[in-house]
Amino acid sequence: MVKPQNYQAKVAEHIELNKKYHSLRLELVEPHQLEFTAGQYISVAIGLPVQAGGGDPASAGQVRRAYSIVSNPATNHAVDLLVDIEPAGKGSTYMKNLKPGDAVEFMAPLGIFTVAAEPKLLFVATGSGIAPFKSMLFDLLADKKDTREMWLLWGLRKVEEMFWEEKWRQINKYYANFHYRLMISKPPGMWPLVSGHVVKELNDVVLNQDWGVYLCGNQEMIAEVEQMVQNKGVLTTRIHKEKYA
Amino acid sequence: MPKYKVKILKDKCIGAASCVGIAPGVYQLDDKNIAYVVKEDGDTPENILLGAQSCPTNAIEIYDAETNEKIWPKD
Repeated sequence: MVKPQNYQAKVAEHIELNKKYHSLRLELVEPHQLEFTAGQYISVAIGLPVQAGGGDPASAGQVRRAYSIVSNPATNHAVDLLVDIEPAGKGSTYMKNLKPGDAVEFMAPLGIFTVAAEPKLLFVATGSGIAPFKSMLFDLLADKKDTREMWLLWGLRKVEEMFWEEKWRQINKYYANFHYRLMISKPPGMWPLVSGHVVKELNDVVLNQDWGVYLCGNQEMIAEVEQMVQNKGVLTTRIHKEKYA
Repeated sequence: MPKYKVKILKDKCIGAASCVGIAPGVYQLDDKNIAYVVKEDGDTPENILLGAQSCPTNAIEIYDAETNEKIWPKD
């Protein structure tokens, strides 16, 4: 793994995906390239002056928030992030207010939540927990042409929170070894597609000791799925978790 | 004498290992993937502080060894 260091970057793009999720691209300034492994995260210094002459330098770096890198390692001049702005805390408010051109400082690359050499891969996410899996799956499928069987189960609460749906559908169609299910836990009355929880969906997936399981999202889901996959024969050493996303 | 005293809040640690990546001579993970201090002065003071600052759950507290003042995280 590459030794972490501090990076200066500028916001290149800020997209409101919906009322809950925003996507940001940070273009690296110094150093101008970042080597990382898919699944790693960055630690953003919250409270830095975002514009020349603005902000409070005394508070610089006093608060940090972790965000998984969404982009794949092949893009080494920038990092894409997914931000859930709903908590409206220090981190999400800071990220929500960033505009193109604003300066951002972060430490990277961090973390050990990366894909191992298991023969088959299952990824289970809730909400913004999808972030590291987008990096991992695009890296595996598009860049490394990995042909292992891969499943992605992603749970969102409401239809209004959906994003990247078309992206995953296209990948699902293009790569025969990739299978994808989106679950909406609180669908509207006449919702025609699959609804329910990712945990329920897992009942139908046949697992054994060949599988590596990757979990990212809320702690309840992680605890429940971890127990479930262990009961299905997945080895403890092949269950990988990232709880903070 | 080490510049900093390091305290790990084990119940907050999620085993992300960012501290280990920055200062492996100070921080390591045990068999339950929880951080512990190997040697309080096992790296430069700058790296010890960076390792704590990189933690996504603020599970590492840094104190000035002389004054006992809390350096990180600032409450």
